[in-house]
Amino acid sequence: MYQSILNFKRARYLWVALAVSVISVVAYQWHQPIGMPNGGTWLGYTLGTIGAILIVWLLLLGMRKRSYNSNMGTVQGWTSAHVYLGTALLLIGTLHGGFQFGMNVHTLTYVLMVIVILSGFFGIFVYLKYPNLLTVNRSGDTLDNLLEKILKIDKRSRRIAATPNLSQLIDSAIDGCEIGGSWWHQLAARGSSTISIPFAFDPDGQEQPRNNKDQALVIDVLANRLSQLSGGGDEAGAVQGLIANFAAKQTLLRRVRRDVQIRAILKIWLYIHVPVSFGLLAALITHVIVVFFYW
Amino acid sequence: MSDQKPDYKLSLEDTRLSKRWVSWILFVAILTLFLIVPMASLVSDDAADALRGSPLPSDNSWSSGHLSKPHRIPELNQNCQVCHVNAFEVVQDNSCLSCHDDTNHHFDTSMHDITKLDGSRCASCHIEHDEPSSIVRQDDKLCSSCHADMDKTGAVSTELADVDSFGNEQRRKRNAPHPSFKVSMLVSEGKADAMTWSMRRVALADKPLEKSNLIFPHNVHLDPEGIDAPEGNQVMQCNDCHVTDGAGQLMRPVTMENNCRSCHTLVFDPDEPQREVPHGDPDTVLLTLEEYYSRQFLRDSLGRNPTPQEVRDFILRRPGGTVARRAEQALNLASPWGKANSVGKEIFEKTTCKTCHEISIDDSGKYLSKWRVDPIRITKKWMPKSEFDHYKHRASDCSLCHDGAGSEQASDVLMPDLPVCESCHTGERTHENKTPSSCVSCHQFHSPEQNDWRQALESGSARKIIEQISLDWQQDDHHLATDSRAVIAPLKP
Repeated sequence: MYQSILNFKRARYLWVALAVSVISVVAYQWHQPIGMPNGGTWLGYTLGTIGAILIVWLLLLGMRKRSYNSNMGTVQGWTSAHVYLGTALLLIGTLHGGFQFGMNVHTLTYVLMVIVILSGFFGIFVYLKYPNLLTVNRSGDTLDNLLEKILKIDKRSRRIAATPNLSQLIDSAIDGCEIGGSWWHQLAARGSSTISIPFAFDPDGQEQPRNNKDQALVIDVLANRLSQLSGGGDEAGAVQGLIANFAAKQTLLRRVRRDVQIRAILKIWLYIHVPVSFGLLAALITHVIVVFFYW
Repeated sequence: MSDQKPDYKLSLEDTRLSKRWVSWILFVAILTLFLIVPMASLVSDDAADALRGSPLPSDNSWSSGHLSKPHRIPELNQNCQVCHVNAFEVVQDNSCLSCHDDTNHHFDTSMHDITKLDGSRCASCHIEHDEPSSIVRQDDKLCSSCHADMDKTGAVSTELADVDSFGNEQRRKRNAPHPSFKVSMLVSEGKADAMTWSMRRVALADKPLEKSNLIFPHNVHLDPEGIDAPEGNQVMQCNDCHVTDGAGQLMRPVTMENNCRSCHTLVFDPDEPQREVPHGDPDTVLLTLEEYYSRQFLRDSLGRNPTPQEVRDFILRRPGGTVARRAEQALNLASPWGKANSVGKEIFEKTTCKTCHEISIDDSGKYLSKWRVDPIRITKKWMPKSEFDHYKHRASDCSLCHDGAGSEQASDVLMPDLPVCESCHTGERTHENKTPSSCVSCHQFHSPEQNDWRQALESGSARKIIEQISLDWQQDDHHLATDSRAVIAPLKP
């Protein structure tokens, strides 16, 4: 039975995190330190110690999920606890500092922690929403299958391109077709496809590569060519077949790009979450050393 | 042209994005920038200054918050090591006392062993780098953590009542509300020159009477109809006589010269209103009268004003001459001497002096004047265990707290008791429409009456002294006195 990381073992870590949070808030409200609440009171030290241990433990998830032979709980359980206790950390860290912020390494640590946690929230959001969209988009197919289909369409197109001009156009459209690419193109679901149109189809053009976004230009050029071949004939039949091919390819490309986009969204937050976590670890080490260095 | 599947980049792993490298870079960069680079501040003062002046993070980036405003002076601000002397050691009192060396202790450390304060540092209460800044504690817990139950503090003995709150609202809820006020009052015993003074703590509720030896009815002076003054009828105000000192807290002493004399002249001869007896020593007063009437006598005898030498000769009665001559002189003298005495009796016993002073008679012949004026000493600070700022209360009418208009005797103590304060003030946590006031609004922790903090630290607490005595006793076969105060007193440095 499918069980989301949020519902793991009836969300047992949700209750743990809630209990820790409630205790922290109650203690914070009850505690009346000398001066303002801050990290240097006994409660501040307590919350700080809990927070620091949590940060280190949360970082260990990265190691746990790579240790396939580990017996220390399931990765799913770890991830569930990671999510809930990481959320509780936001509260614990905030209460630890007593809402005192400044231009210093302590607030830097806090800011990095917040960035890590917020990026984690985004991660939870996409893990809940996007895997489903991925399945719907592929509609039973696999990405390899889709790419295979595109390849077949391309082969067929090259074969039916009857004239040299048509052949040049189609080769250019196929060779200039881009899928994926840079992280930005993957996320934007945009291939930087280009096409060079032969003089015969576009006397004003310079046979320079032009934007063939969403295969629109090649379909447009083929449709124009078809209108010029009003008398029918072999070329007209070939052009008609090519238009159908590129329309089919256009549909397939959209699905492939959406697939790439969804998988990129599912992972992009980790490129913030993970490196900033290590930045946080460095800041945390510095924070702990210097508060006792200048006690 | 190729029918091979092109090498598309279809996942983020295929791009140039990297988690591993960015992680390493961030980790190393943050550790370097915020831990290792600021360490250069510790190498030397010059290095610290250079670093603090550069855009690189110095040890100032380790500060958890601004210094409190009074501490933001060039010597301290950004110079971490002035206070943080040793690494991994909390700030020691010596750092604070190097400037605040006149700080007083809270109690007599030679008398009380307040274990609750053991291990307390200046920084235990004075929290720095806290925002909003609160370098001086204002919370009631500063006091109530000990004063709510004095038995638990380890005080050898104290008459201080337990207090855990202030204000009417708290009075209903708490166990140990603020007690009624006591005043520290000067009390005289004996008469005139044999008079001794002592300070006594008396509860206002016991309706104490001040014995300052002054005769003064406030109500007469504050008569709303006015009083006869040299310039005519005058309605007096409190501040005609009572003005605050420079700090605006206490009142300046009322003096004869400054406050009374403009109305209360010391004229003794209505025919010569410009002549007055001096205010002060009764002997000098009598001497002045004798000189005055001798001069008058000589003038009447000579028919002219005598020269100063003649007056002096007359008073000194130079030895020599015949017995008959001396007898004649004595008879003549009787007249001015008698006059001086009768006027003296009048002003000492009935009018001028007696208006304000208690007079006693000393016939022993020890003094030139048998009339002795009982010395006056007015209590300067009635409530020395608290601070009151008259200036801050200047918008209020004096009569709100002091019933001067209703006082007929100088012995009346016109200090207000607790309910008067509580009519406007209340405790810190309140729902009343009154000014929330903490303990330190009126009381000081560092008591001006006590030794300075450093001396108290060095002399040690009573417990340590008792332990030492106990050790000596065991070794030297001396007996430890039962009253620890008696034991401790001779040992005080």
